[in-house]
Parts: sequence; structure tokens; C-alpha cells
Amino acid sequence: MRSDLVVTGLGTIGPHGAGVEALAAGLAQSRVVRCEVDQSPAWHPAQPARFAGRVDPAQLKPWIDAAKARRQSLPSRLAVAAGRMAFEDAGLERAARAGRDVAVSLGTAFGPNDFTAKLLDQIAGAGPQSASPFLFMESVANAHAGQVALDSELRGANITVVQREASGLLALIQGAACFDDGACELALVGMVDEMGSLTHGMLDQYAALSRGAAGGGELGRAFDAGRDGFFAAEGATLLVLERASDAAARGARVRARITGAVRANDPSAPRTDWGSGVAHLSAALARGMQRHGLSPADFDAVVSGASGSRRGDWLEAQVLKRVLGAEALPTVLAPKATLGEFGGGFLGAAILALSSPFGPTPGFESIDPELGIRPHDGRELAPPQRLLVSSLAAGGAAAWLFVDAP
Amino acid sequence: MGAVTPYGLGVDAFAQGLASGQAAIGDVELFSTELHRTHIAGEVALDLEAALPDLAPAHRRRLSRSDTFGLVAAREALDQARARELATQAGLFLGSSTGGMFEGESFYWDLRQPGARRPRVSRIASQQHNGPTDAVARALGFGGPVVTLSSACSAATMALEAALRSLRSGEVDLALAGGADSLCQLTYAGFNALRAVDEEVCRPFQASRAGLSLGEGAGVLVLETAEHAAARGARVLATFAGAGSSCDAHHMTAPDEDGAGLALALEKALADARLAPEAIGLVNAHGTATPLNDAAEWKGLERVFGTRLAEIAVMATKGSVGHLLGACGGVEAIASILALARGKLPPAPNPGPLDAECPAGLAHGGERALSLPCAALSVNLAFGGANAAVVFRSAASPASEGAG
Amino acid sequence: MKLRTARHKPDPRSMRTRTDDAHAAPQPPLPPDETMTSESIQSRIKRVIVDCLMLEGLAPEEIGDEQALFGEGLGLDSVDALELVLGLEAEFGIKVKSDEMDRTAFNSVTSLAGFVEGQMAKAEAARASET
Repeated sequence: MRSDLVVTGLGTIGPHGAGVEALAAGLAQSRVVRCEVDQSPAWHPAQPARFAGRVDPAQLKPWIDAAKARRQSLPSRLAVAAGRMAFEDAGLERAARAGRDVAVSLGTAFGPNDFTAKLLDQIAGAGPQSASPFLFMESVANAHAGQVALDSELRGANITVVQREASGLLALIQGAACFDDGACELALVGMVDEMGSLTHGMLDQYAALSRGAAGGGELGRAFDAGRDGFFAAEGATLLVLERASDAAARGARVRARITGAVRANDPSAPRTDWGSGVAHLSAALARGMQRHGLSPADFDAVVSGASGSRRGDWLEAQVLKRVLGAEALPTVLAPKATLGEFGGGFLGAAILALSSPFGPTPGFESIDPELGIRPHDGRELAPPQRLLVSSLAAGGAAAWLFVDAP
Repeated sequence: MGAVTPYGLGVDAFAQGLASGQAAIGDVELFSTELHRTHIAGEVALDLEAALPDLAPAHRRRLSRSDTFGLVAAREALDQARARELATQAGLFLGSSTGGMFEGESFYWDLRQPGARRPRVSRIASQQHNGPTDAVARALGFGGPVVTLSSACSAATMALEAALRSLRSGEVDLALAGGADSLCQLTYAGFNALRAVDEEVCRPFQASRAGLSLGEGAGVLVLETAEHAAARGARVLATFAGAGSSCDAHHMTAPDEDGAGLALALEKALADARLAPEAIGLVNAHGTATPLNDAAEWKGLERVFGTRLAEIAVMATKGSVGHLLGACGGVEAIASILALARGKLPPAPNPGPLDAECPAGLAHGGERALSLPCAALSVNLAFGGANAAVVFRSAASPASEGAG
Repeated sequence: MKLRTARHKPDPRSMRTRTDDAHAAPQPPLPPDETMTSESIQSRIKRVIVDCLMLEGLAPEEIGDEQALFGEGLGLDSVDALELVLGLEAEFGIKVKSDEMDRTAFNSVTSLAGFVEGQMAKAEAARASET
């Protein structure tokens, strides 16, 4: 991956609303926006997790062209809206993109689950011959990326990455790789997911979600001793990537510089949980830092993917401590405590961390002695110059990104 | 290389099946098609026990059908390349369109049964699109980048491109790439809902074509940098010269009828491979055999190759094994490399009059010799307008990235 | 696995031969309700177009009988045509085979009405020959 890529546009929609300001305000105020999940289809276990971060349809409406969107699933609509916002934020009107090779690389952990379920209902109910073409063409995981390309007329590579929690960061890295060998001139990268009752219920069946067992209410209590799972959310966050020289030439505002990335996998991970491959992942990250000429002291802050999951936060903490030094850890931000897991808000937070204040980590009460990490407590920070962004997925995939201030 | 196809387990079975000129497409036995519009597909007759004899039953039970395809193919490829012990630092880039949907849909229907006992959620541990990738990564100990590309029918080809970029950037020296997908009722009903499935065995580029045949399986390749292959004395089967992809941005399911979007991917792949169109002697076409797709694909090829297209040898692997969706790019890359190595195309099954609009140079009525040396271009188109192409050169030519 | 070569004709099969022990899923289409025949075929088609193609904000009566449905007219496309067939099958109790999907039938509401009437007559004839 090239080291001269910059982020010039950020589009985001999620539980906090539409747009960068809504996301930034949520992070600054440590405000967890959540709503009750429909339990009536009985997807959930007894004593279920009750809350998810969902998008208010009214927030989506101004960004969607109803006629064009009539066949789109919710995640497609979210992605299309975030894509439009990202280009607007980047000051790249349609005319400015015309004729350029613009890649799309979108991550999604679940794809269009709700449309898929509706289609399965039709097949088992009225029979396979009643299957709806509308539902089928929107049931593929790359429907979101395809709709974004269709909406914004983007004719470059159209990539969809599905790798659980790391889908967003891996999609960003795959989109950045399109600049290698001149395979694109501009890229729209990010993550989208919906959190309908079915997906929420299945995550709850896996005991992945916080149920408020520790008495602190349902929260993704990142790094906390009493964490009992994550808080699940939906949304879409898309970034515009371009070469620094291109951005400078058109006088674009640069939100962040992407200077490098590292990817690895922990083969010790079970299919649906995090593994214990601390040594392997740490070595991979350390090697990647070395390749980019970075040492632990170079990072002013870590944007951690810790979400309140028991095993995931444990693994995240061990890797960070081993690579950066347990005693020398910079400020560790855990935006998923505010934004929830999935839905891409994490990527937006990773960019905003350079310029925007973060409030205290919601739900954090006491240090877990096994983890030994106290995430950001809300104190005022000097704007970080260099961030380490970390995303470890259940099943083993890992991705890290080096992000510099403009 | 490693493959699981409707011809059986292994690249040899695939090669022999292709050489037989008989399509491996027949009655679906995996599920009842009684209520479906059509009744045939390229199904893998798989004996799980025999395919993975050394796997503990508890481990095997957790594998979806797609996982098993992917794992069997991955083992074959790594063994052939003598690269099993290199997995700890290697990358894994796999495409899948539906992952473990065959298991996922039956779980969902069980879950919907009123009054029935709730099915165990562990049944869908590998339901997601990343299921086959994770199964391969875990079973074979992949420690490098692990990424699932899920761009429907061009997923495996895009996975090959992702691996190529990783190798060129120096991120890894060796990677396994390709795709795995299994038949399921969702895609079977879905493609039928689009009236895109032929009741008979599909006939790419023929005047009588009336739709695709679905299929299943896996196809993966071990890719490594030429230096790495040379240093460890690996046998090079072909050179992976380049890749390119594009998007029609035209329609979610229908191809851009003038082929402009596809041509962009082809041109990018050729430029990436630093080859002129004249270097291509073999095109492994997407060739789904739907009336619209083949015509649009031909327009795209004509844009790049012009009148010379008439001289180019064309394969349409889907006429033999059906449409393997997220895996098709993997097995079609293998078919292309096999053809380059043998210097000829296997006979295309079920020959018949070609469509005058897309008179592909298929091997109808016997094998067709390639004019060597030449390079092969393997092409895929997908829902969402996602096009992808990869270019291989035969092993004898100077290498940049090898495929083993 | 029994291999097939091309030209194989599968046995004609009835669409639904087993009762489904299903659940909350969408139910099979009801046969056309005789009391609804007072509504013209044209207006029923317009209703199906709006409902099943999710054309929010468009009232059925706003669609002209002769208005082009595809391309420049209502702006529908090939997937809409497929979805529309499902809706028409449910509304009129017909079964359209893939090779009967005549593009010209989808030009306008009037041409669709002709197509539907033809299909209904055919279905009626098939029922009569069965009994």
C-alpha cells in the first residue's frame, strides 16, 4: 500500500444521526444512542439483550432519492447516503469525478440479512417460484457497493470485504491497495451494516451482546473488568481516499493521512470468538511498524477496536501492551463503547480522533487486572499527530492502520 | 492449484472432466427441486469422510459444504506447492458469494418452525460469507492477511487481484487465493426468479442459449513472488501477469449492453500485465449462457480485441461445470492455466450453432490448439456491475508472480 | 449423479404438490376474488404496478392506459418486469412461463391487459381439460 494517501471526505450515518457533526458530538459527549429491539419474532434467547443502535429513518430521508431507492435494502440506502455525504464533504461534485477511475471498497459483517431472511420466507412459504427478483438482487453482500457505484457513477474496481468486526478496516486497506499499480485514481471506502432484530437476536444467541449483567445497564464496556459483551449498532461510514498530490492540486481539505497498514490472522481463533494468539499478532504488528519505520513512541493515541467483548478486549489489550509496552501506552480511545460494534462508526471515529475531542469512555468503571488498560477518561488531549487504529475480528482476522494528522 | 468441481475432487478430476467434453451437470440431489422452476445443476458428489479423512468428526461437523470445498482445494494446492509449512506467514484471499448459506437457510427454516425446538446456533457458526475463508485459515494455520471478497460472481477473480496487490507490495511472499461456494436454495430460487436459469444444460454463446446452469465447488491457487519461488525451488505452473477490475455503474443485475464497463476491466488487466491485446491467445469467458450476458460480454471483448477476436480461442468453463458463483473465478483461472500448459482447449460440451452476435471461438467438435506462446485472460462479471479480469502467461515465460 | 446432456426436457411438474408446514412466511396467493372483477383489469394492473414495484408517491390512476411503462415512460426495467409478473400471477391466478415473457406485452397497461386476458383464458382452458 502507498504511504501518500489522504482522507478528504467523510460521510457517516448512524444512531447519532447523519453527518460528521452528529458523530463528533456523540463522541464528545459520550452519548450512547440506542433503541429497543423488536423481540416479537422470538429470535432472541430468554433474558435477551434489549438495545441496539439503529438509524432513525428520518435522518436517512434527505439523503435518499425515493424513486431510485425503492428497491434498495436498508444497508444499501445507508451506504448510498454515506457515499453522497463523503463526496460532498470532499468537495467532489459529480463533474469533478467524471471520467476518473473511482474504486469502491465496502466492508460489511453481515450483508443484507433482513432481505435475505425475507427471501427465505418466500421460498419456504409461498414456494421458490414466488421468490422476488427485487429481494434476490439485493441479497448479495456486494449489493451495497454496487448501489453506491450506480448512484455516484463510479466505474473503478467494486470491492466488498466480509470479515466480521474487521470488515471496515480491511475494506479501507483493500481500497487503498487499488492505488497501487495505478488501479484507481480515487476511492470510496468504508463499512455498512444493519442491525435488525434477526441479526441482533443471533448475536445474542451467541452471547456476544451486553445484557447489563454487571448491573451497569446494557453497554459495551470497553476494557472494563465487568464487561459482558458488546453493544451492536447499524450505520454506514464512507471515506474518500486520494493521493496527497491530487488533494493538494485541487486545494482539498485533508482530514487525515493514511501512511500504512498491517494485516494478519490469528489461526488460534475459534470460528465465532477471538483467539489467544498474542505472540503471533504482536509480532505481525511489530514487523509492520518496523517496515514503515515506526516505533512505539511515535503514536500519540490508539483508536482501539475494543467493544466490551470479553475475549476480544482481552486480546486487544495483550497485543497493545506487548507491542507498545505496558508502561508506555499512549491514550487508548475506545469509540465502540459510544458507537457500538458494526455499522462503521468506528472508522469515522478513527479520523475524527485527530481533530475532535472525545468524552470519557462510557461504561468504564474499573480496570480489569488481566487487561491493565484504562481507556480515555475524557481529559483534554493535545491533538494527536499519529494514531494507531486497531481492529481485531472474531474468527482471527486482524487489521491495523497508521493515521497521521494532516 | 486445488479444485473441487462437479467433476470430483482435485485438479486432475477437473482436467479429465474438461477433456472428456461431457458436462457435469445433472439432476440436483442436494435438495428437492420439486417446487423450483428448474431441476439441474453442477453438483459436487462429495463424500465428506473421504474428502477429509484425517479430520476429527467434531471439527468436520462444524464445516459447511462451502468450507469443505474450500479446505479440500486449499490442502491440495498447498501440498502441490509444498507450501503447507509456509502458511503461518502467508496471505489468504478467498471469494465467496453465499458462504455457508446452504446450512444457514436450513437453520433459518428450522428456526421459523412454530413449536419446534430451537436449533442450536452453533449450526450457523460458518454461515457468513467469510465462513470458507475462516475455515481454511484456521485449519491450515494462515497467519498473514486473511480477507474474504464477496463480490458475487466475480468474487474469486477479485480475490486473485487482491492477492496480487499484496504480493507486489511486499506484504507477503506467498498467498493462497481463489473461491469457494456451494449450491443452496436461495441462489437456486433467486436465479430462477430472474428467469436466468436454463431448464437444460447451459450452452454459452450458442444461438439456442436460454440461461445459466448453477454449480458449486472451489478453486484456489498458490501464488508467490518469482524470487520466493526460485529461492525455494518451487515448480512454476504459470505466471500471474496482471489483474484489473471495474464497475458498469449501469444496473444491479443486467450487464451494460455495450460492454464499455467490462472493456475497462480488460484494459486495466492488460495494462497491469504490461501486455498488448495481441499477446492474448486464450480468453476464458464469463460465458454464463444467459442471452443478455453473453452478448454484452462479447461486445466488451470486441472493444478490446477488435476484429482479432475472431482468431482468439475461447473457453466457457460454465458449459462444463455450471456457474460456481463466488468460486467460478478460481476454477476458471485453473482451467485457463491447464489449457496454457497443454497448448490446447478441451472440447466444449454440447456443441451447437453459435449466435452470430457472439461467435466465440469455442472448441466445438474437438480440441482446439492454441497458437503458443500466448497469454490467457480469464474474465468474470457480477451483480452490481462488478467486472474483474486476470491474465496468466505460461510457465516458460519470464515470471513476476508465479502460480503453483 | 445422473449427468445430463443438453436438450433434456424435465418432466412437467405441478407448481405446488406438497403442502407447506410453514409459519409466519408470506402465504400462497389467493385465487382471484370473483367480487373484485367489477374492477377493470386495467385498474387492477395499475394497482399491482404501484404496490409490487413499490412506486411510493404514485397513485394507480395516474398511470395512463397507453403510457410507456419502460424506458422513458414510467422508467421501469427488466427486473421490474420480472417482479411485475409475480404480482400479476398472484393477482390474476395465472402462471407465466419464462418463454412466454413477451417484451412487447409490457409496453403499456393496455398491452399488459391483453397479455393477462390471454393467460387467463389459457389457464381456464387448462383447467377445463383437466376436468
